[in-house]
Amino acid sequence: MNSVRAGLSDAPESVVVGLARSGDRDAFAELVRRRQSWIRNLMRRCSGDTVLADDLAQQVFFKAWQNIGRLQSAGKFAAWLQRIAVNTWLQHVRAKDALQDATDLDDVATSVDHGARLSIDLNDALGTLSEGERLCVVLSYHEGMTHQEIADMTKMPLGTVKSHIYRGTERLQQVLAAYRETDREESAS
Amino acid sequence: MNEERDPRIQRLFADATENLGDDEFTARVMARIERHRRAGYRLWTFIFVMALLAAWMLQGPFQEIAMMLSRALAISLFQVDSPLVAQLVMPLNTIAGLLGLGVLALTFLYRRILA
Repeated sequence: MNSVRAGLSDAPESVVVGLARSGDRDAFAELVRRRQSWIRNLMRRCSGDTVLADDLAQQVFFKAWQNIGRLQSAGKFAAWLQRIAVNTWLQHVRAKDALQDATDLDDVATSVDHGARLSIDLNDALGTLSEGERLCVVLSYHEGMTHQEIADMTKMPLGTVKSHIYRGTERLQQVLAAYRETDREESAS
Repeated sequence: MNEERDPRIQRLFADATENLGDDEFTARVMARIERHRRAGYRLWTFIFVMALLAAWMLQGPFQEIAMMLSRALAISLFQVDSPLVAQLVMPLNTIAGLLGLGVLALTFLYRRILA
């Protein structure tokens, strides 16, 4: 078993994906080992909640296992997994109507002013964005996707994606400025 | 709007990315897959047993229905006097033949529409 695992850990991803497509669970476990950090980080940026993020990441890999037989090309595994992750997040948002939960910027800015935080918490900053803005900003900054790629993946119009990223970036800059201000005040005192 | 990204925010995202690789997460995913697989086996076993039970209990009525169906499907659509011609057109001169032709026509139309 350990030798199988050692062999898989050295194998190119396309080979491991090929084995997983044929139903090899050890190969799929190896894919989970390789890709979990990426997917869990992506889900953390999207949700801002580590427990929820891990639960969603589990769902992503479970869906991947159920559908890996339909994956056309082993070389497209990463893009395919990313699409499953984004769809899983969108389904979660729709199910929970999370748009209602987006925190208002003013509330966070106030809490930042009085919060005396020393470090910048990216998830808190992302929490000031609407779900749409947050997803587009995460896909742009965390995943390095172009606006067109984000529009294709999320099925949002390109103009909406652009405005989400523009407004999201502006809001993040405001929140970060507030953090820096707090930081400076604390350093001075 | 161009696709330039704010370098500070870009750096923040890069710095916030943690190495979250651990065997516990992998084990949880694989355990979930295993649970689902076992549940699937149990479901299919249940369906198979129920189907066997139903077949055993309903074998009499099923046989009758099958006999009636086979008789109905073999009914000639039109009378042919010549025995040779009757033999030749027999595959088409039945309700079963008509149904077969209908399925073929629908399949052809379906392919034409989708092509």
